[in-house]
This record gives sequence, structure tokens and C-alpha cells, in this order.
Amino acid sequence: MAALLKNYLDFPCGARYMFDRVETASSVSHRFLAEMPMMTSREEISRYYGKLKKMHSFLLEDKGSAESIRMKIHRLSDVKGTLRRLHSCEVLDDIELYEIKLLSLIISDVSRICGSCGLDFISLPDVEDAVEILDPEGHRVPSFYICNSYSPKLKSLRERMEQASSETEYNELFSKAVTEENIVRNMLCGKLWPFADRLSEGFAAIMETDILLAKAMQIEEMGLCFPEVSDNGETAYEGMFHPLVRENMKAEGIRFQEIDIRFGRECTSVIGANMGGKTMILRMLALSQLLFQFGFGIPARSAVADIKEDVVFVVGDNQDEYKGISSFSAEISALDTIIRLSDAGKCVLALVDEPARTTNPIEGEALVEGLLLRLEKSCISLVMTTHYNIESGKCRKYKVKGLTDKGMDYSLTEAADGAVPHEALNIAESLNADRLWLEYAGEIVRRRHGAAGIRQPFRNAGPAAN
Amino acid sequence: MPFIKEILKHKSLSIVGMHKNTGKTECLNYILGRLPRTLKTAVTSIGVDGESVDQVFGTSKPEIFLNEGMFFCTSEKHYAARRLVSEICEINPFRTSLGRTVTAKVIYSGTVLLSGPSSTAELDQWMSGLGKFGIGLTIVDGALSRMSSASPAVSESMILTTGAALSSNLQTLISKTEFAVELIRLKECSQDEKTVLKNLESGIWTVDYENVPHKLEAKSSFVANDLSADEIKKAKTVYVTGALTDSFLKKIRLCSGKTKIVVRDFTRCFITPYEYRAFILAGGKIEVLRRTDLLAICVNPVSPSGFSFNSDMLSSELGSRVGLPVYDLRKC
Repeated sequence: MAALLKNYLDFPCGARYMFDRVETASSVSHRFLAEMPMMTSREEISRYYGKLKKMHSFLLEDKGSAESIRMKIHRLSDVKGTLRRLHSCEVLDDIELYEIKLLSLIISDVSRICGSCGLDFISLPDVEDAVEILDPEGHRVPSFYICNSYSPKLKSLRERMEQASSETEYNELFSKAVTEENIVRNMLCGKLWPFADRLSEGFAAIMETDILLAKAMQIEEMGLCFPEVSDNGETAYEGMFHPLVRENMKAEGIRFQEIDIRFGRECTSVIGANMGGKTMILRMLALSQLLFQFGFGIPARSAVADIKEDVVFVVGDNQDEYKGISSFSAEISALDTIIRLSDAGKCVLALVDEPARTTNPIEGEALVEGLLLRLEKSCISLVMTTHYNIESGKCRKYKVKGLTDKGMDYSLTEAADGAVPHEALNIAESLNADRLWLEYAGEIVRRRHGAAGIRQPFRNAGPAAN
Repeated sequence: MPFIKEILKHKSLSIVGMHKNTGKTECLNYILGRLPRTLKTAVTSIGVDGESVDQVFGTSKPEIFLNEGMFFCTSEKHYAARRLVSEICEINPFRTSLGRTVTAKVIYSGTVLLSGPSSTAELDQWMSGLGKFGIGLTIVDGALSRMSSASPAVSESMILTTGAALSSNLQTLISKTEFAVELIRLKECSQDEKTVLKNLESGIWTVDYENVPHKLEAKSSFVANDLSADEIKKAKTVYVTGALTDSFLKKIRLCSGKTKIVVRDFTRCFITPYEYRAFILAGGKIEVLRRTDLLAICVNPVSPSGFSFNSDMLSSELGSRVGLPVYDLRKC
């Protein structure tokens, strides 16, 4: 069974932020979106984005009609329970009949607007007969009661109630009226039972319309793009950004530097200096992949994405003091899961932030190179960030350009083996860390690894203290 | 018809009982029966009101009678038990322990139990949404110990009901009612202060003489143990967003007698007359961010246990003490 969107909302990549900003007209549609299964077939994804593109064009061309649809859907409430009772041929009470009438009116009104705007991709069932059953006087007002036009007997009883001369007489007439109302309710429900399937279908279609419109609005508001489905296993983003981080940086007057990246069903490593945005790249890749498979706009200038069966994101310190799991054991367990998925022939996107960084560098580097060898023949797309010098011919390498005279350059360039930058001391210096400490560290690097081990100091540091 | 003209000057009214069985429902029925038929009226309760039998004493009680064209809000459970014919206009987006709440319009008059929104925020939301039905007056019925129903945040005007059920001692009844009236009539703070205070979130704040607010470490007046006398002395105003308690009032009085405290509305004051008077005598002031207009007091001189006061004596003594019209509606 496909995983649901709600299972990924707490991934530390900004998925919840994007989900929260899908502003559906009805809250029930938003809850329905959380239950959306991940799309894993080319046909399904292409069909979905086809609809979303049409909805986006409609939104741009006819904002007024789009707003009218949203106004109609605004009153939609969760009627799953009531529809279930209708399916089971139960007799509904007045509140449930009101819900069915409101749903029928929404379906009918939205269908009319969609028809007049040529939105042929929205398929809403014909529920006019259901509307007529619940609206005998044809007012098309979203209110309901067992009105007199359903039964002349009921009308007569109610009129006599108004004229009752004593409480006893009133109570007697009221009881008879309640009995007659029950007869009418039975009759109405009997007529509505055959519409249960159509109403359920309409309910789902209305929520889908609401979601498509809200996603189209999000695309417009955030400047997202429509992705293409990759046909060669490669994923490529140009001008990729993180909407939340970009928004926060914009508020501080800082420009977010967009990233271009391309990877296939192989291993890709991203190397670069600390603070170079390597982890952010993984977050953006996780977010974009999830948005792609759940039919959202993609935060990039252009996107071609490969369909995956799952997304595995190993980031941060997953130690759990309550379960007695250390950082290292949590990470090894997560990497082992990736290997098991690979052995099962699963085509997943695995994003791993600095694997084996919590152990000694000799074994750490060996563990990472071993992982690459182990996954060499799988169809997993592994993208990892690392500070280790990985020597594997089959690993595509990107390097964050890093610290320049003008500050940090976050853009990526393809890198060769052994290109891991040694900029940690320079960056620490730019952060105004203790000067003497860094001088000691610099001296140690020079002593152990020679001049190649360290770049020139970022600022004019004096000689090492003796 | 006392106070009906006064009610019509406002868009919302709350009826608050000092105690159970002080005549709230009687007062509500009196008002509903005398409002102009052309005025669209909506009624609800933030507790449960309109039971035909008192749940504590087993005595009979007046039921809430609604006329044709009136709107009401009640829970699903009580909607199903209504004894009138009504049209459902809306299912509200909030729930109570008795199910969802429904807004409906009376088609044929009759009686209903009211059990509407259970919090001030929901009540506010419900009242704001009534505009689409063209409602001219909204009436909120309170419930036992639910003085918050009269929160000025949701109603512009108020009628207070009191009576023998509150106390069988006339002086105690009058003193308790008089203190409640004093709190209801607390002065509203200045417009400048409102501008500064209205957006401040939870907690306790001081406002200096340049109108700059500063948040104190104490999260509420219940845990304000380490108030700095210097901070209080420097403050022009102390703003309590939550409940104002006796212990907090005492601490402020001991820090600096001449402090002004502002609370959101009178329902936030959980203070005794003794501590309040001590604070005022020391030169302190209490003001509110929003004030409700107290129109009248209604009295029920009979308690459910059978004890009763002389209605005229109760009305005249209470009236002279509080300076407000006092009515026994059974005599009107």
C-alpha cells in the first residue's frame, strides 16, 4: 500500500510548511490532502499534473470564476459518516439531511460553474434529482427542515398546533406532527439511498477540485514550476530553492542562491566546506521529490524528476536517549535499511547527510566507501554529503564552491577525486573563533599533512605561538 | 416595559446570573416576548439553559420559548429534543460535549434547550458569523458560575440577575451583588492604552511612562511570586492578560500602592471585596480594556428552597445601593 502524504509531513525538509500553505477553501479538503497516497506511476503523475496545469491556466485566466468555485466549496464539511449511513440504507436525521442537501447543492453549483468555464477535466456527477428531493420548493438555499410541502397532513397538524387552546392539546398535536415527520424522513431517505454512490463520488471530486485550485494558487504565489517526468532515470533541477528558507532570508534582506543539480540512479556525493549549504541541498532534494510525487508545484526554475518508490532521509543526530540509541547506532541502522531496500530491488531516493561522521575518520571513510560498493549495482539514487575523500569511480561528485573573496558561494560544480576542501579553519576564523586555538590547529595540520593540508589563512594571522 | 428600549440600542446582550435560579430564563423569556417582531434576533447559551426541571432541587423551571423567525444555536443533542419546528441554517465548526452545534431558524414557535458555544472564542466566532442572516440583536444566556458569558469581548450590553437563591441574608445578597456591579462598571482604559495593550499576548506586562510595554517573567498572576518592586514602581500600568487574583493584587499593593492595573474585562477579576478595597484605599486603580454596558438588574425574591424576600424591599434597597434600575419581572 502506498505511503500517505501525512507520513512524510514531519520529514525535516519543509514538507509541512508546503502542506500548510495549500490554502484549500474547506478544511475537510486539507485533511483529505494529508491522506493522499504517494503517486508512483508515470501515467498517474502525468495525468495529475495535466489537471493541475489546466487548473493553473484557469486560475490565471478567470480569477473571478475560480473564486466563485472556492466560495461554493467553502461550506463543505466532513460528511463521510453521513454518506456511510446513506450507503447502509439508514434513516438520516434532520442534521444529516441538511448535510446531504448542502453537499448536493455544492456539487450542483460547482458543476454548473465548471461547465460554463469549460473545465472538462473536473468530472462531477449529476445530483440534480437529489437536490430536488431535499429542496421541494426549489429555493436552492442551503437550509433544511421537514417542510409542509412534503405532507399535507403535516401542514394541517402544524397549523392546528398554532391554534391549540391548551398545553395538552398542543402536546398531542406536536406528538402527531413528530410521527408524521418521521414518516416523511423515511420517505426522503428511501429516495436518497440510490444516490449514495454519486454523492460519495461528488464529495471526493469536490475535494479534489478544491485541492487542485489551492495547489495552483500556491504555484502562482511561490513561483513554483511544473515538473517533467524523467524517462532515463535522471533527476535534474535548475534554479532549485527552498521556499521557507528563501522567505526567511528575504525577510532579512538576503538573496537565496538557487542551485542546479543533476543525478541518476547511482551514488552522488556533495562535498564542500562547512556552512556551504550541503545539508540544505539534501533538504531541497527531499522536499522536491516529495512534492513531485504528491502533485505539488516544484520549487525550481525547471525540474525533471525520476519516479521513486520511497524517499529515505537520514539527516541530523538521531540518537534517542530514551531508547538507548546512540547517534552512531541510529545512523548505521538507517543505512542498513537503505541496503535492505536496495536488495529488495526498490527504486528509492536515499539522502544521507555526512554518513559515519560520528566515528573515527579512518573507519568512517571506509564505511562510506564500503556503502558505495555495496550499493553499486542497485537502482537506488543515493545522494550524500561528506567531508571524506571518497575514491570511487562510480560516484558522481559535486563540490560547493565555498568561501570566496565575496563571501560563501553555494553553487555546485562537478569535482574530481580528492577534491575535498580544507576550509574548516578558515571558516572558523571568519566566525571569529579564538585566534590562538586556530593557530594551534593550523600548526598541527601543517606538521601532520604538510603544506597541502591547509589553505592560506583567511585573515592575516601571525605566526603560531610556541 | 422596562429596559427594552435600552436593549434595542445595542447589537448584543448577555444575561448573567449571580447564581443558579436567580431568574435568567425568566428574564430571557420576558425580553424575547417583548422585542419587536421585525427585529431579527439570535439566542444561545454558553452553558445549558431551558431545562424544565431543576437538576439540583427537582423544582420546575421556565423553559426557553422562541417565536417564529428567531434564530438559535444549540447542540445536536438538544436540537433533536426541541419542541418547535425549525430550519437548520448552518452546522457550526465547533463542538461541545453534547455534539456539534447547529444554528437554526424557528418556523413554528415552541420551546428549546439551549447549549451553544462553550468558550468565549467560539461564541465570538458564532456571533461574527450571524451577519449573513441579517441578525439585529444577539442574546447570550449565561449559566451557573459562568460569569465569562458576559465578557464584553462578545456582548455590548448586559443584564444581571440576582435573588434569594444567592443568599437568604438580605445584606449579604446586596453586598455580593453590589461588588459584582462595581466590577462590571470598572472604568475603561484610555484609547492610547488600548492601542498599546490590545495586541499583547499572554502573561503579565508593565507599561512605562513612554507607553512601551515590558513583559514580566511571571506567566500569570497565580505564579507571580518574584515581582520586582522597582519594576512595579517604574510602571505606569500593569496589564494582566489572564486572571487577576487576590494574592497578585496584594503583592502589587505592597510593591507600590498607586499602581494602575488593567485587565481584559471584568470577568477576569477573581478578587474579594476586602482585597479590592484595600488596593483602592492604597491609591491603586483597576481598569478594563473593554467594558460592557450594564443596563439593569433583575431580581428573583424566591429561592428554590421556598425562602423569599419582600420583592419591593429587595428591589428598592438594591437599587439605592447600586444606582441602577432593579426589577422583579414577575411584577412588571
